[in-house]
Amino acid sequence: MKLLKCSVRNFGTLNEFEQEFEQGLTVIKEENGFGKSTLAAFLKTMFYGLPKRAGRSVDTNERMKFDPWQGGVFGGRLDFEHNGKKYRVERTFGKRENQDTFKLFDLDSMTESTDFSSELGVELFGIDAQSFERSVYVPQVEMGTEMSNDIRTKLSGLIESSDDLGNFESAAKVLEARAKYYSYQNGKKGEIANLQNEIEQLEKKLKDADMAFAELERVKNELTELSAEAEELEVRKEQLRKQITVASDAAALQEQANKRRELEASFKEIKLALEGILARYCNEFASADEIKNAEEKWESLKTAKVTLATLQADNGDRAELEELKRFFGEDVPSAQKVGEIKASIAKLAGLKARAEAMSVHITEPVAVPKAKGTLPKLLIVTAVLLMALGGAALVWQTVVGIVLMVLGVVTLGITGFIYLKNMIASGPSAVDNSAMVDEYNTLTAEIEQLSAEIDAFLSAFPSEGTVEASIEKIAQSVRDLERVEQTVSRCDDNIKEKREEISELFADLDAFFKWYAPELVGEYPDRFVQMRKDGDERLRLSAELEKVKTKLAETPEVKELPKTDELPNRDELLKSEEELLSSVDAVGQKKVELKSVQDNLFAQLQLRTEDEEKLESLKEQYAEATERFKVLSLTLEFLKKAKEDLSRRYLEKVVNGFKKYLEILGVDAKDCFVDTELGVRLDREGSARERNCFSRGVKDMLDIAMRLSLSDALFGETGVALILDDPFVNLDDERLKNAMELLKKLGEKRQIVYLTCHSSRC
Amino acid sequence: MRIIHCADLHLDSKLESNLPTSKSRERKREIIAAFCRMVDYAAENDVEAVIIAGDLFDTERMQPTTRDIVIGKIKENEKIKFFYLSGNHDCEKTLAECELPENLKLFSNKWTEYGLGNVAINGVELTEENCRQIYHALRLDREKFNIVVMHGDIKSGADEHFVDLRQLADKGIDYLALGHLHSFEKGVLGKNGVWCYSGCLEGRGFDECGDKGFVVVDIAEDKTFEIQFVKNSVRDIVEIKCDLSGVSDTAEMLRLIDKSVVDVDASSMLKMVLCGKMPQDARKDLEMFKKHLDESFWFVKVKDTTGIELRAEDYVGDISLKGEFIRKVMAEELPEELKTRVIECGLAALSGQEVL
Repeated sequence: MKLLKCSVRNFGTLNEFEQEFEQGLTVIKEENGFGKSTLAAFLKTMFYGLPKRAGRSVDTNERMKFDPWQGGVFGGRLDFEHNGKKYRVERTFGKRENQDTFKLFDLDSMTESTDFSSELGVELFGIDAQSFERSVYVPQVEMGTEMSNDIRTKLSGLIESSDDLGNFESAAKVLEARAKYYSYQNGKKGEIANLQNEIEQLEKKLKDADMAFAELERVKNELTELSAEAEELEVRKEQLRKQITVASDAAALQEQANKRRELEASFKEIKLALEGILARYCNEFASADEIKNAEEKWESLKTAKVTLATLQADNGDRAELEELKRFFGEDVPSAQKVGEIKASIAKLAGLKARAEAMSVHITEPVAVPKAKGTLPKLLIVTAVLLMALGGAALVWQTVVGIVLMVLGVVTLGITGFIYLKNMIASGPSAVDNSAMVDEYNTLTAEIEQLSAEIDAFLSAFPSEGTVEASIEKIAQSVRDLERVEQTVSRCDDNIKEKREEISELFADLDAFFKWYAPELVGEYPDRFVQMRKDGDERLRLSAELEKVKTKLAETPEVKELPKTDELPNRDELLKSEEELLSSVDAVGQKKVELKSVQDNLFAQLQLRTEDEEKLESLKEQYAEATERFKVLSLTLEFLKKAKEDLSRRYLEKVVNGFKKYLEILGVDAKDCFVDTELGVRLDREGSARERNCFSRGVKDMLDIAMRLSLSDALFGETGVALILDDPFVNLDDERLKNAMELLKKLGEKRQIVYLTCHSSRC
Repeated sequence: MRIIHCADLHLDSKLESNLPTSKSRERKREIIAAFCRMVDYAAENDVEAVIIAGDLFDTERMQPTTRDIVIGKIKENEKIKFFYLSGNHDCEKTLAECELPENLKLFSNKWTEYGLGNVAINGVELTEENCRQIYHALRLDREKFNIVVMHGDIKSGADEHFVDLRQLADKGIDYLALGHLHSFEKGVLGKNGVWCYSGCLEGRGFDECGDKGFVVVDIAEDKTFEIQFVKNSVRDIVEIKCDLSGVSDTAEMLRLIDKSVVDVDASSMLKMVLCGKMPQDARKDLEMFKKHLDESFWFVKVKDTTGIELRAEDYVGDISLKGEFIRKVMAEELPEELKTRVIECGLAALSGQEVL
């Protein structure tokens, strides 16, 4: 590849700059600030474009760095020749990558070419931009010459057949990372260490579980011993139980015999008591109802007695009767008689009044009242009857008697009233005097007769002062006598009746007691109480007797008791059994506890088995991880060796060129050493010293020699144009002279673009 | 007379198949259930006796609940006689604590004979002390059908684990019921006898693949007999090899894997062993393969034994890093398998694939 011409439209400080390149050495001498480094960068950019990834500062971001100061189109073109064909590459750049343009023209046909893409540099040189900078581009500033993937690959001359050497670093990284996953920090960390750790922990756990095994064995043994002990205790328990059974049977028989005796005694006692009771009640026991019936009779008897006493009590009737009898003496007027007398008295009064009136009329005729009609007489008779009936009724029914009496009196009053009214209504009759005298005389005689009769009647009774009072007294006494006599008569009847009732009740009760309890004496209530008590007692005793009989039936007679002297003491045996059972319980409890421990240990054992399986799996994983780590390590190791061996093959070429150029530049290169990373060491005073140990001038010469050597190795001595951006500023005169001679010599074979700002370095 | 011969149940034993805890527990329950299922078979098929030729339990690992289930099952089937000979994994205290059912008969370190009609069942538990003498002490009545029960290896092993068929050959044994090996196997013993391993009832790991079950021995009056292996396992343990030689396409790999397991039951424990030489650019994702198989089987383990198609001569002139790397690995004195893995890893790393 040869550069023909460049045309910079705008690129950094360069503006509308054109430069044609010689076949050999092209020296561009421009003063500082012209843009030599910019031109060098332009040439690189025409092949590679601007870097896709860039920093944010102007120093690291070429898009920012070379953005034209003066504005306008950012870019330019470059004409070059490759394999006999001439091309023109045109690139413009925007603020962003997607605004960049790329065009390639075939200069012979002046048509757009597709021989190369925008990755022109890579396709032409087989190296990336960075590698380009490190080889054919020699800048003024120190840039280092360390090996890049592209350079290494390019140097190996294999880029056309395989890119695997270029993948070495990524492959090595992957292998290292993967190996690190399994093991790092000298095996202290990583999957293998983790697995190892897990295995150790699990092994420790299993070791602990071994203790559980031992413990399980111990527990099993103890359980076996306990089982034997429990069996022995069971045997002893059985023996003891048999003894206790024998002793218990004896005790039970003895107890049965005792009980039988007690029951028999009790039977006798109850039977005796029952017979005693039954003896008092020879026929039969009165039922509760019968007793209750008898008690009711007794209550009736008591009530009858009280009634009789009340009847017999003097309530004044008999005294009144005696008084009335004394009043009347032997002859007691009838009520009719009394009524007649009372009528006579009334008549007498009337007669007297008439007579008196007539006496006046004898000289003057006297009007004599004349009773007229029959009504008064009927009324009088009715009144008398009512009063008589009332008097009689008083004995039986006091209220009825009183009512009848009152009615009688009222009727009598009405009779008097009617009589007087008639009297007034009638008025005096005019009689003739004689007749009146006769009448008067008759009347007088009648009055006398009536008076005599009345007096005769009244004379038998104490006077009450007046005739009317006396007759009234007598009438009252007659009525009272009749009433009292009736009352007393009724009372006597009642007394008689009560006495008969009492007598009957006594007879019934006597018969009752005589039949049911002839032996009972005392008051009836006491006898009732006793009967009940005895009845209850009989029932109780009967029931008790039945119970005892049943028990007796259930308690057979013990014909022969075992000889208790030969038997062990039952209580002692029971005590022994209690102790034995306590021991059995203790052993049983211990067994339960131990079985619980055993179950727990068995559970641990099950987990142990699972842990063992897990351990096996972990060990398998560990083995696999270890194997993988080994494979990874070996792979990395073999890859590194392969890379080194490959590197050595091209390194020789680089080192030879490097030494050649160092000699030309006047540096003793016989003891120089170049490693596979193109690191340079020079042997000075017995030791290999790194590049940085030397002066700037020596370092520049080392770099220039390495660039030239690399370029030769990569592209051949006539290959790609070298672009030198004033690289000799630090060389002393002699070395500068050597360098310039070298440039001229190199320019005979290859194209060189040499940029400088000083005529001394031309 | 019909007799069942089983052995090596290893109840409650550790499982060797890397099962996760939950599945490990489930599997242990299945192994216990296998015993119960066998007893049910015996009850339903007029079996008069069940011979357990050792390793019913697994030493101290036995859980009381397991023992109770076993004893309970035996008690439940009182008409069937159980003859239990302890194996090297059984423990003398295994049944010490429990009340043995009437129908459970045990053996000891001396010959013990049980009669069952015309059948005599003799058994002895091998120990360091008796393992040499027991052969001389065995006396059998040749008129009877003689079953001898032992637990040990007929091919090799320490003395107490070794059953010497040569010394048993002329003893008049008709059927030698053996335990110790976990797969059904039988052979001729003497003139008329047969030795037989019943194998275990259920496999516990991928080292116990194949059908598992018990042996039914039908004995006729004239002492002729037939042996029938009865598969009893609820789950198969299967190892399948899938050759991925020359396959670089993942889909094709899955197709081949699927094809290889067409006949495998979904309830199986499957170990998929990938083998063959695969191209360098083959992209195999073991995790994906496992997940894919997990969807179809109860438990899956994937083992990769594949190699890479490499010929040293192909890299003689290859001056690439890959060529240099392969040459260097192949020139190194390393086990072939390791070389393969290293090359596989290196190529994956260089091509930007995931590594290990």
